[in-house]
Amino acid sequence: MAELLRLESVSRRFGGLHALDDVTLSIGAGEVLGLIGPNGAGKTTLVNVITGVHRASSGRVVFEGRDITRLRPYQTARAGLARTFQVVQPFPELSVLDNVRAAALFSANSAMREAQRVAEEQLAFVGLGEFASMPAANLTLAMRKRLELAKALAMRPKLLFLDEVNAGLNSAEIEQAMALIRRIADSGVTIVLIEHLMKVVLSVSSRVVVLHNGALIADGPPAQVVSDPHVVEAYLGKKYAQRAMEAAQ
Amino acid sequence: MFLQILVNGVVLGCLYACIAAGFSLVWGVLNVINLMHGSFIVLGSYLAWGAYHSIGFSPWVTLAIAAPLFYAVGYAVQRGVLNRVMAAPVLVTLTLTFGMDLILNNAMILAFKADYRKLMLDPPLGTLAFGSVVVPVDRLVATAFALVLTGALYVLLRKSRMGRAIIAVRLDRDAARLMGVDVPSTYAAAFGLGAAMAGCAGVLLAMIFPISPLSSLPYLGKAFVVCVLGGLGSVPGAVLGGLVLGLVESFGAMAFGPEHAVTLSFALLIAFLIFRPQGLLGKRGFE
Amino acid sequence: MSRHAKLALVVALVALAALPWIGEAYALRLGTVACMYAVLAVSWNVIGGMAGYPSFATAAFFGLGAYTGGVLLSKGTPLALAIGAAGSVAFAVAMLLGWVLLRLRGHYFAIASLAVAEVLRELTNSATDLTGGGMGLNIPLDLGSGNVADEATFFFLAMWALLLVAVLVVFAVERSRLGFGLACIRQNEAAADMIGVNATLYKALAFALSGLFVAMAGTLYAGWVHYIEPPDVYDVLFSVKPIVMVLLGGLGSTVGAVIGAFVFLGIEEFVWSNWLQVHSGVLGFLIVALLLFLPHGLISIRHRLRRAPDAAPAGMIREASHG
Repeated sequence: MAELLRLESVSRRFGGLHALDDVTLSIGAGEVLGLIGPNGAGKTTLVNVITGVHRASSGRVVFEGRDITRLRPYQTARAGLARTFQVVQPFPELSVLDNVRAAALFSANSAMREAQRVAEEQLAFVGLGEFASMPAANLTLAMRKRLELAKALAMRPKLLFLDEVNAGLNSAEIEQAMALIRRIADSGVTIVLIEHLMKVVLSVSSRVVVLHNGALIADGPPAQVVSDPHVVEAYLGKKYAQRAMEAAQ
Repeated sequence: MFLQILVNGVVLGCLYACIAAGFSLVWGVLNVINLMHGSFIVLGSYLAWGAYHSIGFSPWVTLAIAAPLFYAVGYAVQRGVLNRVMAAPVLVTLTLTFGMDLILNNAMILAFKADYRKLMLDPPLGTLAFGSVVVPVDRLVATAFALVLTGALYVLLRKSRMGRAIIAVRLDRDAARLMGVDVPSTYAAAFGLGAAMAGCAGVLLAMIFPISPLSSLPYLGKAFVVCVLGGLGSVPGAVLGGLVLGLVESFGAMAFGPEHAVTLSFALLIAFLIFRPQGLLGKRGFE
Repeated sequence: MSRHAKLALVVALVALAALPWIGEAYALRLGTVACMYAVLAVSWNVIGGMAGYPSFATAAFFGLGAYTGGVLLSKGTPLALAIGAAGSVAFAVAMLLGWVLLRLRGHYFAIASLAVAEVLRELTNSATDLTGGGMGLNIPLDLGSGNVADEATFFFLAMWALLLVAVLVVFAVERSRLGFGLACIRQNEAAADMIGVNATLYKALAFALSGLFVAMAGTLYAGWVHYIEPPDVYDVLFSVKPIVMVLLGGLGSTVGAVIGAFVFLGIEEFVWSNWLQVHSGVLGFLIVALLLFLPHGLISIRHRLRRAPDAAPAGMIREASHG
């Protein structure tokens, strides 16, 4: 599997805080990578550093063989990285269609007509076609999440970061979201899924990576990672980790 | 020579700190730039002048009147007018206070005329000499009071219930609201304190500088620069910023000439805005 | 802004060109100032309304244009060249300044832009050999005819032409990628970054555009009044009045900016003529009333009368997201 993204000893400090601590990671094309970890572990920071919202304090980020460490967000967007935000960020006054059209237009420097076509296509893909002319501010949360997804897809990304897409959704909406994500993965987009819900991570990911206090503490197939005592300790504390180990013996 | 300029700078700096402390509080807590601040200062100066020349109250006595008077005015302005636009973008509050300042300034020009007056203390306080350094006593007294006032504000904010509510709202408005803090009243109290500081600063400045509605904008300009230099919403920030500005102006006047002092301070303002907008002591986040 | 409104505006502006033949000196003077005000308002709207950055730099650009053009004119440069030069200089300066200052948001950007005018004023004051400093600059512009009425007509038509060009250019920008990008930046800059908008460049372009026509208007003004001083042309009111005009007409709308400018001038003239001593107080009162009771400008009155009670006006969402 070709390597798409590589992080080499990436650290990010905010004052004295090590939000990311010497993270080395490789992501292959076509993977669906689950990125998990307790609150505050640095998952969103990792995405921010990769996409250029924050500059890495040290280390390198290499995408398709090209060093993108110093690129700004609009440049990584044009290079083929897309992300959704944990708290959805639409353009509230624009219509649903215009939101997606903006993404198609600016990420690929396309002509207006081409952007329109891509936008309509992606809106249909996520199932929001009938709401095309509605102002984005009037959408429900679940619909806004799908809009966010449509915008990211309209950028024709090679690598897509989904940051807590399921926050605030009920189980029916989560099922729909997962089905959508599987279809996206099938179309060839590499996905990094930041998630809290274990069942989602286990069902969709081909590989799972665990972040704790900014450091990578586990990396492997889902089932293996989930029962790794270090991971259990990170989430639930030493006592539970010990109990889990004792129970396993 | 160096020592004289240094002392001049420090004295000036303390006055600047007093001018800016209230402004910084309002900006930091309410995220409102009160463009009337300069006019409040001038109004305070007129109050001192009037009180001295008609009733015979010394400026430090007038302070006791100015503080509650201006507090009440400020409280009313916030409660009556500004509270309605607290959720509006920065542009709206800026333009609104600009409009209110136009009214205030116009009223002052009508009432007092634009020519400069001077509060002449009788007998005059004279000067004190410390070795080669000469300091006019009126400046010294004003500085002392300025420091006392600024210190009083600092203590008030930390110790009194209202003060702590103000700090809480500054740190996290929504959390404060959840804790039961009455945010609109707290806003009004903060604005009132800002106005009170401005009025009192005006009273003190009346002892030193000529009084005219035309001084309103220059005072405001100083307050801006001090806030950006020192950081918003904190009294120590205003003090530090004031001292830095005072020293820069003093030494700058010697190096480039006094007529360029204002330009120098604005250039410093721009530099700080570009490289360190949170000021020397401030924290990022009040953009 | 609807197509109809834009078309109506262009038609009205074209009709305005007839003023020299139907009005006399006073009307021409008013008309010239009205067009100038409208240029300032339309220009400010590009950075303040479209991009969402509250600029107080209009006075800086006006003064820069007045002096750049004024100095060239006093040395005998042809008017068209002087205007072009002033516009180019302002555009370049604004691009550079914008690249630096537009990283700031909200209040900080507002103050920085205000400070720029102050610094420019001082620099102009100090460059006495070039600009005459505090003693002012004389601009003896000879248009050839020597006839006062002809001169008044000329400057009206010149300012009118500038307004027309400015309006057409801004209309074109609104429909372009730049306009689209600015709307995205205004509504959510982080999201705009993420979808590939080069926000720094777009904002700088908007800032530069907001200075271009203003500077040209400054040059025309200098030629028209024949004498300028730093405190006149760098007056902070040149920064504040366009904002009030745009707020009056309706933030974000070019048509609203023009309407707001004309209405504002009408009110200003009325107050000057009747209550000279309190005119600034009345202006202040107007500003306060406007912001408290008509935050969406005159255009919103029409909307309020027609709109269903539960639909939220678009401007409120933007305000809520600024918090």
